Amino acid sequence: MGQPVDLTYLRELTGGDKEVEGRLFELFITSCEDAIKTLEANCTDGENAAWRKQAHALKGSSVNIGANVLAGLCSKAQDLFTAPSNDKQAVLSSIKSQFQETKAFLKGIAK
Amino acid sequence: MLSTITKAVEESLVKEATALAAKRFHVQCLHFHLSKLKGDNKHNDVLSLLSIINNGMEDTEGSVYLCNDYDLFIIARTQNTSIIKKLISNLTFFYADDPIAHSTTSGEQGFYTLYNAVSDYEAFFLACNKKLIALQQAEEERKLKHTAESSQKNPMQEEFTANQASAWKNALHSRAKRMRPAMLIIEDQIFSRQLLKESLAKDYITFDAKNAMEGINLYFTNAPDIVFLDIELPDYDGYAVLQKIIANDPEAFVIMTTANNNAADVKKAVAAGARGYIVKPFTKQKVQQYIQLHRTNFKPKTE
Repeated sequence: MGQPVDLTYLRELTGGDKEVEGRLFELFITSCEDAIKTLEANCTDGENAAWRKQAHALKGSSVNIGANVLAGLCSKAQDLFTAPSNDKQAVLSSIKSQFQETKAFLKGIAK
Repeated sequence: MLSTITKAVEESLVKEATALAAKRFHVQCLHFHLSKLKGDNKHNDVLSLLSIINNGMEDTEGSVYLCNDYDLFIIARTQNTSIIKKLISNLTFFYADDPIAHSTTSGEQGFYTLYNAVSDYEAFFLACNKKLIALQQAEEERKLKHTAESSQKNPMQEEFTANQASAWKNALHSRAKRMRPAMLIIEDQIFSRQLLKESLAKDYITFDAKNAMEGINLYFTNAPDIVFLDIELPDYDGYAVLQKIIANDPEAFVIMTTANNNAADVKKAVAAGARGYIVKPFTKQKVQQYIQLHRTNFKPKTE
């Protein structure tokens, strides 16, 4: 199984600056944690615009850092904004699990 | 002669009705429910009525109150009931084409109510007070509606104020003189915003905004050369921001950004005046491609 994050594009943009990279990783982790809390709060039955918006935002950040598996799950979550809460809960659970893996990977690099 | 009161009517009416409690003998009170009548020309009709009333009442002392809803109240100091009956008849005749004027003779449901100031005083006072309360409620509703409309105003469609126009003029002047291109990043996601900013900060002047309004303010106070504009923003969408920018700066170089790879969005953005479109992830190649495109039009200044 491949790495949870492909940093190729990010490193091109930062020019490989480790200090900038570290700051960006921290920013990504904290913003993901906030986003997951918002998704948890909006895990309701039926249409939920806040859920869709947050899933979309998390997808944008994830794809920009190169966390493509996480981005894929967020894309699925975005599409499920009208689904029952059980379906939302299931994808959120996968997002949380994938985020933990991503976070551990980024923390490992930053050391 | 009756005096006609057409300003602060309801308040004056209640004031006189209150005073009437002390000396209400030989007073006749009439309430014409003209607000119930049809017709688009009520205002002119009522003005005509006022002269009919004054002529018909001969030398009777008293007041006529023309309320805001066109209801008329007459307080006449007379014992002569035939004058009053004649007046009712004249007014009914004036509205000969209106069925309400003929449907019932008197009372709340009809065209008029005739009160005896002694025996019907309470009812008359209530009718007067009801007008004042209705006016106050209407005023309150108008204020609430105005407040609601003000809060719904779309700042994206508003014209520049004098201060904003002056700031924009100064910004354009600075843009023409500056040596390094300036970039504005409008992106609600802090990570994506910071990533783009970090990648541009070494070579360019950078401004960044987390929502549409902040972005608009930064655009028109700094006149950046290139804008990276996210489509999904928390307050207004990126298209609204694009329209606002293009409307005031047709040469603006705006690149739309999004996490959705959607052909319809690209078409919409380009039709609205965007110079390009980046589907996330941001890559050096995608960003530089547009900076290069802009550079062909951007001539570095010499000091």
